[in-house]
Amino acid sequence: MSTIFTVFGLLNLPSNITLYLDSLIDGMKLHRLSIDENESLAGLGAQSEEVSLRDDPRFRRTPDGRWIPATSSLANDLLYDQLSTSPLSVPDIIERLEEIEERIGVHTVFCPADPRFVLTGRYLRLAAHELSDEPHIEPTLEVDWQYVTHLPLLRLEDVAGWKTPVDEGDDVLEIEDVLAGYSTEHLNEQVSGWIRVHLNRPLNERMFIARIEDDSMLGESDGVGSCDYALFTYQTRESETGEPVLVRGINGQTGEGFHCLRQIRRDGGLIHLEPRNPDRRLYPLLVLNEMDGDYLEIVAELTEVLNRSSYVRAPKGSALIDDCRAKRQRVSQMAVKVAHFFDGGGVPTVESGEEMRARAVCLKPAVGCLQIEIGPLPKFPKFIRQLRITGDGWVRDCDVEAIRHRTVRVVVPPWTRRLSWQAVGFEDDELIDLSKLEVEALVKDRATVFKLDLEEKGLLVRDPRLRQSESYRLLISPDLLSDLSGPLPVTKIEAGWSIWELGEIAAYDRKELVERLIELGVELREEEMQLGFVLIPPVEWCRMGEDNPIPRYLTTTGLVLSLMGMAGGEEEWVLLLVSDQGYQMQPLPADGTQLLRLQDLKPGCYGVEIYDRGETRGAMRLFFEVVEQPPGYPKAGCRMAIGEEWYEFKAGEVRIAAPADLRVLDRSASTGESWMSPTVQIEAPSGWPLTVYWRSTKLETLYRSNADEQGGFDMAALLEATRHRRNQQIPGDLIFDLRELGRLIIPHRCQLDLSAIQEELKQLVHVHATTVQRGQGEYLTLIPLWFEPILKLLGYTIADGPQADHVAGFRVLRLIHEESTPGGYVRQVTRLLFLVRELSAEIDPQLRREMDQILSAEHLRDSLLSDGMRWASRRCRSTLPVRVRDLESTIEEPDGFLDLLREMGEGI
Amino acid sequence: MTSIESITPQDGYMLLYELTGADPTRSSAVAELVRHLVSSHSPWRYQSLLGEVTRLIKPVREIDSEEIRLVIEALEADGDLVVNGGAIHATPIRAIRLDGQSLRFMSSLPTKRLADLFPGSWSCQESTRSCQPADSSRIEMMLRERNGALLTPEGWAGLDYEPQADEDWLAGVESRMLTDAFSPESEVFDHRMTWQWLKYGETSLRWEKAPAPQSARLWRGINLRGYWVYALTRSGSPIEMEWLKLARNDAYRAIFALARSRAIPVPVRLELGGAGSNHDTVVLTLPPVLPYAEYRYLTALANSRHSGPHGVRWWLNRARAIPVVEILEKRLGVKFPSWPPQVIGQTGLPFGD
Repeated sequence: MSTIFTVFGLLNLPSNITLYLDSLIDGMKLHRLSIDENESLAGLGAQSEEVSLRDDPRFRRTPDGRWIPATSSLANDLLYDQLSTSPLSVPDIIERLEEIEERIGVHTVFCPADPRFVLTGRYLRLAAHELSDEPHIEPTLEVDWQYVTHLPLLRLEDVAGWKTPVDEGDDVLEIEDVLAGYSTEHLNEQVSGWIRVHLNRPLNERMFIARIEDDSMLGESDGVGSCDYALFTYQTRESETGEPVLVRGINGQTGEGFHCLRQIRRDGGLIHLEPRNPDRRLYPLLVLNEMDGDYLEIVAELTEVLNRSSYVRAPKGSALIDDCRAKRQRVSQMAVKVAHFFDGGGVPTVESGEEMRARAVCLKPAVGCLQIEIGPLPKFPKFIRQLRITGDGWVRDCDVEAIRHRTVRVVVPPWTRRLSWQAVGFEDDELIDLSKLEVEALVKDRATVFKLDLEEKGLLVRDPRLRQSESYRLLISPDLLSDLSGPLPVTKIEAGWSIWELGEIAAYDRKELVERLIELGVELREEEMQLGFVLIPPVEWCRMGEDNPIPRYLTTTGLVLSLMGMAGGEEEWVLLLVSDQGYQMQPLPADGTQLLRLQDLKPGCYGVEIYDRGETRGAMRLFFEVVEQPPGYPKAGCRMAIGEEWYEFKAGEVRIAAPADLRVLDRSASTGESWMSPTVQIEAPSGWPLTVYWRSTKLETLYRSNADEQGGFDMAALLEATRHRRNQQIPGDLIFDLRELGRLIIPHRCQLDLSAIQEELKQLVHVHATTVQRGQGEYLTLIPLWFEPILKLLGYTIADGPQADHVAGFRVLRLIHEESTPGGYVRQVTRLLFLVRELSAEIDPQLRREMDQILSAEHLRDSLLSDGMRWASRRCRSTLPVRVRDLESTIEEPDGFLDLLREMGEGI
Repeated sequence: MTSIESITPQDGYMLLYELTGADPTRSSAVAELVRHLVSSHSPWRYQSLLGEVTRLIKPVREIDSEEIRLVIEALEADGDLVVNGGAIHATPIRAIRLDGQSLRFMSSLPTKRLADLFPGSWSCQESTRSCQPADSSRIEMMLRERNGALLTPEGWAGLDYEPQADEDWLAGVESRMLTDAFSPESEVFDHRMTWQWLKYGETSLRWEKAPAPQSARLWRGINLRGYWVYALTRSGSPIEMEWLKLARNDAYRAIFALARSRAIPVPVRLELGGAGSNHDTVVLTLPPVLPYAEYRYLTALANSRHSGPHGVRWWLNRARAIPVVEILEKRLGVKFPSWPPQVIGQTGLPFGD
């Protein structure tokens, strides 16, 4: 037994094993490759099971499970980098390791178990799976290898050589020159690089490689599509085998040049340029007519579509790779996202189950702010009339008919278990699956996050990480609130739950906010990358589904994007712009903040994506629309309907409508019989202020409000606010004031007909006769109950009279009559009413004198007298007996009733 | 092919200058941005609009919410927006025919779009926009075709239908306290507010933070939704006393009504201005809290105005000044110095402060 001292401690091993390991490490230092543990310890026979190289610190395990001396350098990564940049090289591994060792001064080894490599004998190359499907493109190449082992990569546009429009001065490649063997110097300037090919044909200078630009020649089962590489041969004749040819031509009518890859079919004087792709919308059939001046020239024939064994492939991740297919996939994915996003506003259907959903929203904090939003679901099964949501011990019903046509919100209390739905009347029908409408339970142990949209409606989000750029509302359970270390500015709602109206995050001190949020189980995201629209405001916001307001920009202004937080990494950022017009890609420098101006946009729907080519960080996307015309704007006009008659307001002017009995407006509000009653409606610009005044002898404000988003007003509230005035007999003007957009005055003229007055009097007598007879002299009770309504029917309002409290034996009231005169409204006391205990035809002289004094002092001549049921009129200083009328009997006699009105009424 | 171009903040500054027609650091540029936004979507929630303006302008400058709030107030007073509590609405095109052929335009539409609709020589001063139309004879027809309205100064001001700031009106407002008042410190706005009280200073009216005297009745506080809320109490703070929420117009009218009822002088000035010895201009200095009708009356009659630290200075032709002074004294209860006014000469020119 001997002891080996190691830096980690002591190993007690039999001496023969120690000697074996000593010789193994010495041997490894003379070699260049890693060793397999089992193979290397096989020499120990049965003792090999007692030994592990892991226990001896002189050995180090490679990532691929083999062993090298701990002091040696493993060169695999370095070699991988070298081969990635020059995949054509097949280095001698020993020579390459010696070179590295000489450079770094440390014994250098290679691990052949590394799956990235294939080691054949002494020669090393990259494994096939490390190579992409794209060709390895060498930017420059020695002339000796050009057209010998390599062919040039050209763009078809450059080969065709004609720009649009064709300029006579353009240096156009003459194909005949190429075919005649003249130098291709002209084209060499356009060469994108050289590709080493493995073809079963000798190479020559008429050949070149091009990447196909579109899918025009991609048939249903064959052909060549976008991103494919193909071998072309210059020629001026049509393909004998019907292969596609690259043509260039001039449209005789427009003079515009063009080039394309097509099959040619001649039909008399017509030349058909036929795409293989059957999608004629994208790839229409071109027909040229030489008689019309159309010109066509064949440039090259597509000789062979190259597959990945036809050329040396570029390693994955190579900086030189132009990974067309990956780009194409990203573009098509983004195109799908754009289409999906802009189709998102479409009406959801019950068939497309994903769109049938209900969601929780939180409106402005108050009781009832938690609501479940559902609809519109136009194809919801018609036999279902009612849906029922069930929560924690409560149920709420909602009408399916409404849900079919619009979004319906149902007010619900906070819920701590999943909300389930049932179709009322079909609770046991298993075929009705409403599980997609279910809404998750609110969490109690952390705040529930509602993100605010432009309308400040909170939309429930599951992610408890808040973004700096957004606004939020947090719903807090009672338990969580009681556990907090300090008070929060919350609003209490139902069942002890509270809402913290957090608003815009950016407005807070970050440190303080983070501390409060941690207590609520919510995080604030670290400074993150942000993509947003800045500087140029959209010309319109398209609602298309309330969650996703889409900005619209004008073609003339374009837009500016702001990118923030891109600094620091080794990412290669790319901007991808996709629309129904096509796509564009542009690499972006990884600056911290960038402003990108997008101009010359055509009308359409767009999506912009900023992504990292290495996909180390997530992509950011925005969607927008471009339009040619700005939207409309509010109209400076208002109108009001009463019944079927519309009154147009005229800006800056006052319009006076025909006098009307405005009591009629109530009928529609109270009975709802709009089919037979007048309706009232006012239309104004959204948000416009309306003031309704009552003007008689003075101006009185009755109602103030602003138009809703549709330009309407709460007519029930307006009618309620004006009801008192409209129901009085006193004339006045109801003024609808829409500020400078105009004012409408409707004079109110109560048009009680005699029979209506008689009926109302009868009703008063019927109801109050007994009270009046019993309570003679109880003026406090009788005035509002009896005298005031009767006097109102006679055309008066009342006010306290002079010395009312000091005159014995009677009480005096002033009777006021208001009337409309050409000079305006006049309000004046026209008579006095003397309330006496008992009225008879002969009036006590003392009482008569006192009445006359009061009338004289008031400069009045006429008075009424009443003890309740009996009424009389009297002129000042008259000594004649008065004619006493018993109301109960008078109103039953047609003539007597008319006499009563004539004698005692005013303005009837 | 779409042009995608990286631009610098300086380019952004110029772009915003071009878009708004004003230096982005000036309030007129902010006003133009607000008009753009309100024309693109209506109504905006107050807080959302503050956030959107801040976000749009951020690459060029940091902006304080208070600055945007002042711009929104000015636009509302000038008739370009309607603010209803927390909602901001777009407005239609209205034009007032001023002296000569000049028109004053009120609309939420951005100035460039208005100028496209009504060709002419346009000028903007603060939030006010005027135009000398290229073809004055057709302006009425053009307005009609563009769903707009042509107004007279009287039709615009609407003084006949707005109450005077007097005790009668104040009593009417106070009577609402019986039914509509909030209890002390009620959190009707979801959160406690920091209230400021109106101090009638000798040279200006100021909103001050506590401590307030018990006689302080008019208060304001910023709601978390971003806008000012005005409150009237019988006396003392809304934290301790019940209070009535007032619309801004009513609050501004209450400022004058309270002053009139308590015989507190409101700081106003009346001066003669104009170049040389001509003195053909009268300059009225009034607090920046005029109720809408009176404000509109002045905007229709004044040649120009300029906001300064002690109020807003209104330049009027001398011939118009006397009736204007009379109306303001009658309606608001303010007392201008007796005629003839003090001469301020050149310093009275716009932007002379």
